[in-house]
Amino acid sequence: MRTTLRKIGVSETDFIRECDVSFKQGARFSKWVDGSDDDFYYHPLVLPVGFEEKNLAPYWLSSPNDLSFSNAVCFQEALCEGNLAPKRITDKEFDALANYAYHLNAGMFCEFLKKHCIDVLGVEYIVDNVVGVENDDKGDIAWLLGEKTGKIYADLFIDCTGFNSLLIGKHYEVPYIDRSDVLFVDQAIAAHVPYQSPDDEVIPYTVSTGQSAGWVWDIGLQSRRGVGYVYSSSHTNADQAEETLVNYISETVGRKTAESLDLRKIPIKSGHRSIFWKNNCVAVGLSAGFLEPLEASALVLVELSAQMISDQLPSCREVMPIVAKRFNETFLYRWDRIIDFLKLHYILTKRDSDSFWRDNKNPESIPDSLHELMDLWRYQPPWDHDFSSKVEVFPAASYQYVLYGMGYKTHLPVNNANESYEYFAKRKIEENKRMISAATSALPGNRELLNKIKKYGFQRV
Amino acid sequence: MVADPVLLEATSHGDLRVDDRAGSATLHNRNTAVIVDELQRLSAYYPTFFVKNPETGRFALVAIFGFSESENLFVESDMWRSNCYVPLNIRRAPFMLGNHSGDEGDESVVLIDLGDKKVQKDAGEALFNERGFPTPYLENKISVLKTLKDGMGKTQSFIEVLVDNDLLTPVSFKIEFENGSSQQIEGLYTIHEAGLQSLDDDKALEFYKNHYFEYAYMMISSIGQVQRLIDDKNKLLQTE
Repeated sequence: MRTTLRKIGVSETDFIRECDVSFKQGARFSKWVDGSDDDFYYHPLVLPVGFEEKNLAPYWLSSPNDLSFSNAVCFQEALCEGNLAPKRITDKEFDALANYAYHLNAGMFCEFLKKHCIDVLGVEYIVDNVVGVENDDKGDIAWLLGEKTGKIYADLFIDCTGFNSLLIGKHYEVPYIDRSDVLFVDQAIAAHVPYQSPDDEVIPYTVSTGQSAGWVWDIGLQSRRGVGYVYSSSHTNADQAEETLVNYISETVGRKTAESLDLRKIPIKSGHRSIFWKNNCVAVGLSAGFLEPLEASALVLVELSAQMISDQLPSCREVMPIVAKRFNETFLYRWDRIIDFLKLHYILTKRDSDSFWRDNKNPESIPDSLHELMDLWRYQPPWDHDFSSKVEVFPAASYQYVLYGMGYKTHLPVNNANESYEYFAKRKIEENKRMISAATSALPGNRELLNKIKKYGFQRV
Repeated sequence: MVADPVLLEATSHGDLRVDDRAGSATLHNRNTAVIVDELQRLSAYYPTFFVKNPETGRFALVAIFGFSESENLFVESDMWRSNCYVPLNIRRAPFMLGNHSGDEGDESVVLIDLGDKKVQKDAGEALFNERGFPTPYLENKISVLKTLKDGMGKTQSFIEVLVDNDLLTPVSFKIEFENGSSQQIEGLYTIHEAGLQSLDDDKALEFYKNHYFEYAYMMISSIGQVQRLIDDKNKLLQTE
């Protein structure tokens, strides 16, 4: 996200000020393992220390250790627990001391991007309803009929029509592949939760709390929190779900406020199109598919799609099928990997008293590709060879954080001793301890930094 | 000594004296804020750069005197070296300007830092005469404060123009001293010379009329004084 915004020439200061943005340094998964109060683990955005050179997981697994995996190999959990920002006001735009993403107000972000595209990038913006789509004799889309504009001709059409999926879905009738057999949640209810005081901490990570039939997201913006419950309607009903959400919100703002909030219902149909690029039409965003918001993969896919379309934009119609074929292969691979990774969060749980969690562990609901990885990881920790694409949405590090965060035990071979590896690993884990103390003393509070950005802004250099 | 600035008044401070020969805490910093009007005199002795204010991230124009936080290579036994230009922000001590909100809006008032070692009872210059009027010594200090205040405004405008035109660029130094020790210096910014040379005609005219080219090139040429700092530091390391 940082890379994309920088690339299109957006000012980070403007973006943070105009879209109610806060910093996100990862996710904290509470109550996903056994549901007890002290059950939590982190998936931070900073890679394990030394990850570019060697895999520290075997060392951590084989040495008696009172530190969690994420705390032993990464300094970011300490920043999150201290509600600290990932950078200082003296760090320039988009520079990070600790890798970060954003929490943002989607409506404001759309307006912000629209303005940037029109004013800075020279995009011609036509507001109209599409009332007709006409093919040419090859089956390509020749033009769209705008209600006010008339015919709109183009060589390539990018379908960003959201759930409506006007071109790829309705016009081309590309089948939708339902993945609810793997990912069970099919409903969300969401609320805007006010802060109790303007000085309340803005939590610098996504809190994701396991519930009886799904999980609650809790996202801190500058002006409010966004909280929602995603659940499986086969494992609970709408009333129970609403009660679960209100109970969760009550813990921080009291029952009276929690019960007064407007709840918005959002249906989720987990799945994606069987192909994303057909003829001269390519779907990006919700028109291509949607999964539950766990691990925030939707925006990454939009960025990766835009990147590939712009990198490989066909220079003439003859080569478009080749690019389309590549695009479809690449993105089917990515959707499959994301689905595997999301499913991984559910299958190591011990919350066996809830049918939702029990059903998630049913082997028939687990894709073969994930079964295969799990077989492998019984004896060797996740590493680069497990993921073949050049641009993986989630690197092996992410799988390590989830596996070992949830208490999974990989059985290493006994004759694994290797002096130079152990020396390397010990040194890196000491280095991580030093980074924890250096970073926690250098970095400001998240709210404090956001206030400074509003007042002074970041410098561009 | 803890800084203790209070409003300067003839009634309560009539018997105070200020001894500029006594050391002041302001001497022991590796840099100090300076104004564009001083650049010509400064650049004969010190490198000048921009640094970011750690609280706001905004740029400030500073002259550099040393390498570590409280090192000032131009101060010997609590006195600034006699043959060098002393920046106004050092000369003003122990006085400073503060804001006073009165009936007619904000006005500048003179404060005195009672925590400064220069403030004494017996030795030094008197501040007020018997009739309670400022002495020529105090008048001179007040004029330094006024020059600084006006100059800070001009300096801020200069910085804003540089920022708006993307003319600032970070510089870093890796310095190896003769005794084998080395130091990495980060957090300094200077003017992006190529950018300065490719300003369009309207901008160039604006820069010319506001003396921004003069300021910019004086800053760029002052970078050569880093070598002088290194030489001084090497001499100091030899005697240690």
